[in-house]
Amino acid sequence: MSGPALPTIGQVMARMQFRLTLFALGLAGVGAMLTSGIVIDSYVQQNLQLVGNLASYVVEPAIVFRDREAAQSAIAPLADRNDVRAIVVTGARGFRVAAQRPPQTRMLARIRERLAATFWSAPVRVPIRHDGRLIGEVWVYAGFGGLSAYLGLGLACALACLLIAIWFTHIVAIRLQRRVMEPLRAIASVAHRVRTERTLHLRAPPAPIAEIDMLGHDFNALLGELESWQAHLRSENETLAHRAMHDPLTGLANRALLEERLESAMHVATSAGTTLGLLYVDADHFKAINDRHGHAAGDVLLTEFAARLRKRLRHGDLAARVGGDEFAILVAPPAGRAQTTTLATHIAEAMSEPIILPNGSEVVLTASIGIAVFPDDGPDPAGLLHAADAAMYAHKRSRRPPASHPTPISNMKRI
Amino acid sequence: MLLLVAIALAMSPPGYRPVSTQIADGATDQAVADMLAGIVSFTRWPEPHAPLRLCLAGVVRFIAKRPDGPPNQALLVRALPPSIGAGQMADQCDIVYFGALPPAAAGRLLAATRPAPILTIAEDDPTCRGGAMFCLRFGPGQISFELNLDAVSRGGVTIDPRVLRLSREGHR
Repeated sequence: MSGPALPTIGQVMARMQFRLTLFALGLAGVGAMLTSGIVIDSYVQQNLQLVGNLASYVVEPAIVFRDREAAQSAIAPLADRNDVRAIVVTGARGFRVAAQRPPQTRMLARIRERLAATFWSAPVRVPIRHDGRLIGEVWVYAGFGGLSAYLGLGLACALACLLIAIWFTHIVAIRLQRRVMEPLRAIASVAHRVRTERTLHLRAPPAPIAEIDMLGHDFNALLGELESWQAHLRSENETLAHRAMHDPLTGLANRALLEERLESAMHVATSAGTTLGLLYVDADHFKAINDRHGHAAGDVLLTEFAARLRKRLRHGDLAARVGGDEFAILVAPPAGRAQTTTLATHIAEAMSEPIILPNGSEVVLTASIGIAVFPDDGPDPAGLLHAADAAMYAHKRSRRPPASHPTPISNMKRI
Repeated sequence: MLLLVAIALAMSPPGYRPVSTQIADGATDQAVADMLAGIVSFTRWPEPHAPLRLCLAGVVRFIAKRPDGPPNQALLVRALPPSIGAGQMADQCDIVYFGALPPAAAGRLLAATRPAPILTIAEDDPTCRGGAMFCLRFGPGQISFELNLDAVSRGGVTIDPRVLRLSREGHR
């Protein structure tokens, strides 16, 4: 992975949850404050209206008789409320009387008064009527009153809600982590192990959440397919390797495998200081029989020939088909000339029995066998094969009991 | 005149601060009329008569022959014969305005007004003990009135309680 570190599921979810909670709370809080603000404002206005009505009633005679002192003393007690900032009474011809709360000394109270002056700067105006005539007006200016307590309470509540929300988000995030991300992590860790260790037999555990469980199932199915595919490929490879190294008809090794085995057997013999033997077996007159009885019969003959050869082998020996009707047998070390010769004799005896063809006729397939021994008759696989081949030809020509030629092969000429 | 007023003011009974109105010099008649209108507007008769009948008794100084009543009420002004009887007074007057009168005559007339629904205002009773409900007082550049609660309580008209409160709250 390149670039800066990616955020984890936990971080992403926690961040989103926090934002969501904050947004929801903020919206609710703002909504609540707005609504209550509107309601409170309307109550403040109503309250002022009531105070104005009362002032208007009480001050009416003072206005009628234009008595300033009476008007002043009438509204003074009304202005002495914490929800009223000032009361002004106006009448005809410049008659004006005002009463207001004394200036506050405490900082908090002064702030409140300033706030009241800002938010409710305009007074509530109540007309003063006498005998149906408008004779003056009362202006009531709002004070802050009990609103500060409400605001303080509101702010405290908001803070408490925020803290609770944070705490709650934290708790839920932890729970979420456990319930959602654990199963995901389990699957991810299995995938990682399979990738790094190539252990295809691993499977993801079942999950308590539907989608994750389905993911786990599909993932396991994929792994299962991979596993069987791998096994299939392996067996295919083995089959192909086997086919590459063996003769399809008889099932014996082919020349390539024979040479390979010869090579390694020679190493073994050299390092152990022992000898090994090679037999070259040729089926006599095979071509004539093949022409006479057909290729199917020929195949049967070859298969039976090969089977008889194989029967005579010891553990560790290898029989190979190196030509159309030519076979070779590697006699594994330690094997001396005597052993090899004995084996050749046995094979010759085995071939003396007739083979029954599919069409019912019997055929006796005799074999010409050449013997070579390493390291005496040849230094390497090619040389040894050549020697055995020559010995086989010699045998074929003489039709005498199989024997190995004592002279070095390089002097022999093939007929 | 001023001396009289000064003495009258000095002799104000404690507990009653007179309700006062500032007036400009030379506008006394109008001021008196306004105050009268004000007092009348705060008075309620059991059977209101329109127009209200204002009877002047004695030598009246400040009411012009045809003062303006309250805007919605016309005032019918007439002189009150000194020898009028009690029953007749109720039929002929809603308001009786007392000017300068010999005390005996004033006393008899006031007694006659008492049970009837008649508003009584005295122009010339500084101490307001004569028995009128309202007593006008004339100060330097201002007119004020005083209330005789006794007369108000025994009278036949209802005075708006706010007026009573007004004059009582002046207690210092």
